[in-house]
Amino acid sequence: MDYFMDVQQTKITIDLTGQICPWPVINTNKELKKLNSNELLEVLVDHMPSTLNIPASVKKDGHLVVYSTSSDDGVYKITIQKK
Amino acid sequence: MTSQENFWDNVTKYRQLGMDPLRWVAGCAVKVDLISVVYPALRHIKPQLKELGIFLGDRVDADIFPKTNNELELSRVILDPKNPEIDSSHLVSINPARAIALIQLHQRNADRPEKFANILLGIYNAISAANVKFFVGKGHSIITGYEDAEFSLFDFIPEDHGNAEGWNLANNDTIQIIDPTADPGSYQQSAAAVSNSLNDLILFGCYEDLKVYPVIDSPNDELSNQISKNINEFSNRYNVDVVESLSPNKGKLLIGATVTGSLHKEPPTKLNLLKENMEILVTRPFGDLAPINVYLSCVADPDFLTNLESQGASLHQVETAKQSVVDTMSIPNLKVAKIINDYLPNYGDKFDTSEHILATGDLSGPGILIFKEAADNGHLDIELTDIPLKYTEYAKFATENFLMDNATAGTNGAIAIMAERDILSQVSEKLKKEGYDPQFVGRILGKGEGHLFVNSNVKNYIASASLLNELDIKN
Repeated sequence: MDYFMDVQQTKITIDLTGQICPWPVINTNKELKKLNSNELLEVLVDHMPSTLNIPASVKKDGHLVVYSTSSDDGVYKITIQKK
Repeated sequence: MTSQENFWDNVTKYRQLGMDPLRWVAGCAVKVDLISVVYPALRHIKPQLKELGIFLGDRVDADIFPKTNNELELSRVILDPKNPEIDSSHLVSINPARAIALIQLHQRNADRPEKFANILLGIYNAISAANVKFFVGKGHSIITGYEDAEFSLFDFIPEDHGNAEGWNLANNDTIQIIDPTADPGSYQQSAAAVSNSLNDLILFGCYEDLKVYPVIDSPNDELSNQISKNINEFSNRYNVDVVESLSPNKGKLLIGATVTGSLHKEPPTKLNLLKENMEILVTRPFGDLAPINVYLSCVADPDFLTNLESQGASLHQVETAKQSVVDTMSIPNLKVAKIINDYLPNYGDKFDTSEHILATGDLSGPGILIFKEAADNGHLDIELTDIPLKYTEYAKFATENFLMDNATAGTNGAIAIMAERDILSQVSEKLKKEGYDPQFVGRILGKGEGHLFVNSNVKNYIASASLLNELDIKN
């Protein structure tokens, strides 16, 4: 299913590149707590396992993983909508 | 000061010194993913390397090769993976027959097999300019979050044509840090790093002629010197020689060693001799990294602590558990080596299944996945009847919160021993006398196709779907 972002929606980006598990999971969860419901958090990571652990962790708490992308330079982008 | 305040105070202090504890990873330095990156890359480059006279061995705990009456000495060469400049005459003068290799790559260069393969090819092509032919008996690939911390390190072992009188063993292992909430210059961090590297010799019953060739890197000379002092203290405590060795000098925290030792018995690598109803003993409950990661998450984020407290545990309890596993990790399992050694055939003799330990494995990095590897390599089916963890509740918490892919992993961890029940009962008694807490965890079902059967509670301790897919999980 495709999701389209409302241009009015607040999107915060956090750069967690260079971090290795468990830090990306811990820091993503910390950042999500600062957001209001429905706001978006874009997370940049470059530790492959984080691309699986972050979505699994936030889904467990009811948040929505809007999309996840990768690039050839090894940076992965995960966008999460706070529940 | 509370534990949380103390932690963040330390973070500030270390950042001022050019270090970032929020990038340190507890336990074994994070390896390049074996299944999705290393193995496909090696499959791709092995034929090309063979043409260059460079032969890559299969994954092993330690390289094992004949020992002669000549003293074993390693020669270390460190190269930039992206721009490997070779001193050909130096390499020729070493006359290498084998090598123990360590490569640390930025994680963005190790997320896909083609990137990893290209870097390895670049390094080995450069080395081949010296026209030396050698076998890489043990390779260790780790990742770093820092782009400028990449290096490749080769400990070359020269040709030796003397008469064989036993076996030499060699291994390399490294950590960034064991306990990110403690001082990186503490004795325990260094002792755990060296013990962890020794563990892959110990599991073969090797405890003689131990030598440590340190791999030390840190942001400043003061810390490097402290780590060096710690390793010397370890050496005095356990009667292990330390050989001064080149450092990668990348300015990022890394503690470890290449270690060597000798064995005058036959090493327990006989997976092919394992038969139906033989059993598996582990030297102690495992999963040591779970309390460290749980403690770390609780001091870094109060919500994790609230969650933990709701399950009836306190920060003090998890801190005590963390300290207990760090204490265990910093003591080498030399007594285990001696006990295993007692149940091995003499050098050159054959294994007798009624007298000898047939195979062993180190649960440190892979946790229970070590039994999957044994099943694959031995063409066996294995059943795990129990997963005895030192702190089950923290392993479960770490898994539920995706803090660890595999909460059965450790550092300088438990050793698995496979043999007939009678032999293992004797080994178990000896281990108990030395203060260990041995546990029977499973049995060999017979020859098979590499299945590892486990109970469904394994899902409480392994979060990674790809790791769980490796297992046959019973309902």
